[in-house]
Amino acid sequence: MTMWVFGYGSLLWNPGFPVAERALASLEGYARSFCMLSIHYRGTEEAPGLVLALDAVPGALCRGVALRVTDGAEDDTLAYLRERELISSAYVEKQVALHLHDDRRVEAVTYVIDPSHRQYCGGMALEEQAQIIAAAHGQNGPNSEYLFNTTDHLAELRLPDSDLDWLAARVRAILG
Amino acid sequence: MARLLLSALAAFALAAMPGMAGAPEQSKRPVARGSGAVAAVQEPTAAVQEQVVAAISQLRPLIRPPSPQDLIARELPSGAAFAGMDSSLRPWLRPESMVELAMAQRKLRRNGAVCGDISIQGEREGRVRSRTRGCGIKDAVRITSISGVSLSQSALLSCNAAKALKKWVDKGVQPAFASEGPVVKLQVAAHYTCRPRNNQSGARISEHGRGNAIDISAFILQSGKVVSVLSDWTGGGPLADSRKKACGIFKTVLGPGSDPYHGDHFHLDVAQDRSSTYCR
Repeated sequence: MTMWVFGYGSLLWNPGFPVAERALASLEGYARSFCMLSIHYRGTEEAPGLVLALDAVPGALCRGVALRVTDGAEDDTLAYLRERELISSAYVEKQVALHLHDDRRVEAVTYVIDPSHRQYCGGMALEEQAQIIAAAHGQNGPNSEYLFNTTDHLAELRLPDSDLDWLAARVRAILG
Repeated sequence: MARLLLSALAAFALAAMPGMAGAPEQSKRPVARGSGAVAAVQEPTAAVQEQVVAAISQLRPLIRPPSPQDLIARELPSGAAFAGMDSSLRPWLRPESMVELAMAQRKLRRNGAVCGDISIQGEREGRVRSRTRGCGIKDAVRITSISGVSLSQSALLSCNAAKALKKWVDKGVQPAFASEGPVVKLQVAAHYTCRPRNNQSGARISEHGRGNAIDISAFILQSGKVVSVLSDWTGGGPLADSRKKACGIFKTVLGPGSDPYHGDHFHLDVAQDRSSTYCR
């Protein structure tokens, strides 16, 4: 069976599994924001960074990419994604309905946040987010690199996200 | 002054407790005051009274005397609006609490108003600069609500765009959704963002990079119902009606069917360099 994965953050630029096809996709009912504290990849327990997650918001729309997994690699991919995304229990695996921009509808695996988890930090002011992202650093590198990679790839895909673009400009200004 | 008050209170206390000097085996329940004691409380010596009054009058501001209007209002009967033939047709004064509440709300809204319009709520951001040539807003505002309709995320816009959005909400969106109940929230998919048009390098800056454009992906009704461009676009109904009415108020209106990039939202802009409207 065909397996699709919805990428809205690091999966946009670093899927880490064999991809057979990419398609622009919209997911309704979820909003992308820096609403998760990162204590492994982009921050530490003492100085957490911020990573993107999907927050359930009625009426919201998140635009990203649907990635079709190469035939035969489905099981390995799911195992890989679970190890990568479920490193802490703040993300929850979900099967969602995507609208591809070529009008196809597909089911996809994605990772959304559990808003009752202690790493959840939704609703933080953008300026505060910028200050954290400019300073934090984790095992995968600086938090700002995560932000810039994401905004660069969204721009390449022609998917605007005003808050992320504002954050990227602000963090660049803070870093000088 | 504090010492003065204390000594006055001590004088009261001593006068009020004539029977309390008893032995410890007595019940802790206070003994009923005798009539003499009450008299002592009610009639402190003239000297003490004077001291207390002097002390208190120094602490407290004077109470404002009632205004003539207040006095008239107090004398009115509390019952029916028309007590008789000879009662005045002049309406009652509004209770002060109601006036205060209304004025406070107005003041709050006036403080949050931008672009010289009380129904456009947000904050002034001033000049928004960008490292990319062609981007930025001269006099930007961050809008949180328009005519009582909240925005899902605060939108960085020029006042021209904010005013157009207000006109569209009042004259386009609300009439279009009239039968389903008012729209209470607009889902904003994008507002100010600095990128070349369609993000092709070398292409000119889109109106999003000048604060002249906003993308709307859904309308949320008072009932909680979400009407989204992506799922609910049929080419007719309130969505199509809203889109049609945006043309003219905005210079450019794009949406489902325009091109592959606008299937999930309406793009609305007030492009300055366009003399005619472009609605596809």
